[in-house]
Amino acid sequence: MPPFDVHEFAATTHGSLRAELPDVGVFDAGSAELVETLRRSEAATMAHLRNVLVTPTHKDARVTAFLVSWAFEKFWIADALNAISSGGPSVAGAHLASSRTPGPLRRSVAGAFSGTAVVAAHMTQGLIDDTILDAAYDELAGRVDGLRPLTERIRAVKSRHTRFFAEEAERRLAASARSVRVTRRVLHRESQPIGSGTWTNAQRAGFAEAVFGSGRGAERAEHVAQTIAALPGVGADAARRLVDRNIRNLLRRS
Amino acid sequence: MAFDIDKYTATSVSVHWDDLDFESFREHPLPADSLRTLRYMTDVEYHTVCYTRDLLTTPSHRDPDVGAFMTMWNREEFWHGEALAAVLGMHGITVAYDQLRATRLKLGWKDKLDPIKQSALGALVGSDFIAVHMAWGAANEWSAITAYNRMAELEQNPVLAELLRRIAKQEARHVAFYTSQARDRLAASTKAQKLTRFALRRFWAPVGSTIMKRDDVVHVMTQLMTGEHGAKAARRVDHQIAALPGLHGLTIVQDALRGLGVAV
Repeated sequence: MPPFDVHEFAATTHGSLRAELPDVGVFDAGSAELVETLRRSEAATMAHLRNVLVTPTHKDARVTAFLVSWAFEKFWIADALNAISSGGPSVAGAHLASSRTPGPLRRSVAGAFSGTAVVAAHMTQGLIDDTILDAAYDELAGRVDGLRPLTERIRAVKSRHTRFFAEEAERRLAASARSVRVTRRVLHRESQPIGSGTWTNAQRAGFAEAVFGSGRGAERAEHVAQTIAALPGVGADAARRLVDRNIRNLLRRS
Repeated sequence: MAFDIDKYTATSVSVHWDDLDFESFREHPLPADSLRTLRYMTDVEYHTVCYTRDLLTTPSHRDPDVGAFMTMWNREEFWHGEALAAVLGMHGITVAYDQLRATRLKLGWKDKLDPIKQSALGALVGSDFIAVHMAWGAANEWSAITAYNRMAELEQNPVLAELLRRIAKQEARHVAFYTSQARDRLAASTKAQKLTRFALRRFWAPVGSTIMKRDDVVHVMTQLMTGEHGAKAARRVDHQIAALPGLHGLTIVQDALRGLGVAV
């Protein structure tokens, strides 16, 4: 497969999905909560960019070119999710409210010392985030059949992001032991999906339960673990610990 | 009038040039001094993301309207870079991501310290710091429009002029956002006015000064902002900035030009 073409990606970004919104009416509380969690995750681009751009990742013009279009596509995904959760399109402000996360100061100091190795960590985080959210869209389509065309569309839009993150993470981790060390440290420190560190414990547990708690949940969690374990140098143990901490340990014990 | 963020996001598009006859540049190439200026403009547009970083380290990122605007603004500016790079490409000048990366890497420790300073200042000063960024953004966008209009005027090349007109039209919407934000925030706080006045007078420099070589900055400013029309354009930008609440009397563009040794 040829390497990801950032120019081509930028030239073919998907904008507003409002014309494709299904009329699904009111759906159950659990599904509504899942839509809201997905909306919040997709809308957190500026908070995430803030954390990423204060590190040496901002120097990589190819990565930043990708992130500009990535943020644009996620903006419109969040907009669509906002529209279906609130029964109609609303002000842009509602879907980009970012949470108060600690720290550009700490991150910029840490980033200054970890150098370009931190780019691998950010690419890996992007891949894991996409893998977890993809499982959530799969769950949502199973719960509300009327949403399936929209979730399929969103998953297709996001599949290009996933491909970029996977390719970049693999290449960078394979090329540098320092990148592996920095990535393992970041993965150990920060929660997944991206931004979930600012959720309440109940929100995190609710999301884990909804997506990974029943039905195909165990299989999905295993897929996340395998995706991480397949990355050069990360290792099956670190992958398992990450999935335990962010998913399995949050599930209600039966 | 308040800036309509919903209308802006719904109508934000990447600048297009596929209907413009770029092949005509082969027959009527632009002169070397203009290509040097266009190269500068291209780099500045691609580096917008570095400015975004500074904005995001302040409390401004928590404002949903600011976040929505920055998402679209970043993409539009990136496409200005792509469009200008396409013009350069017709002249055999390639702008590769690796070159841009090299420029950013050269910034070294100063660049590493910037977000640290910005976030520390943002934390200390609080929301009044957003006014500084908004007024700064307005000054940059006014300068950008002026630069594109001046370039179109100087070159008299119809294809380039049309592309620059399209870019300047998008920059005008960015100005509308920044001025509406700056005006409201400055009008609401004397502290914000004092802080913004101090920051602009003390630290503002033409867009690109921090990332490009001084020689290039001087070349671009001399080409675009000198002579009768250039000096008039510089004064006009200063008047626009000085019309913001609490910023009367500021002449930051003309001061910066004098500082660079460019006659105004």
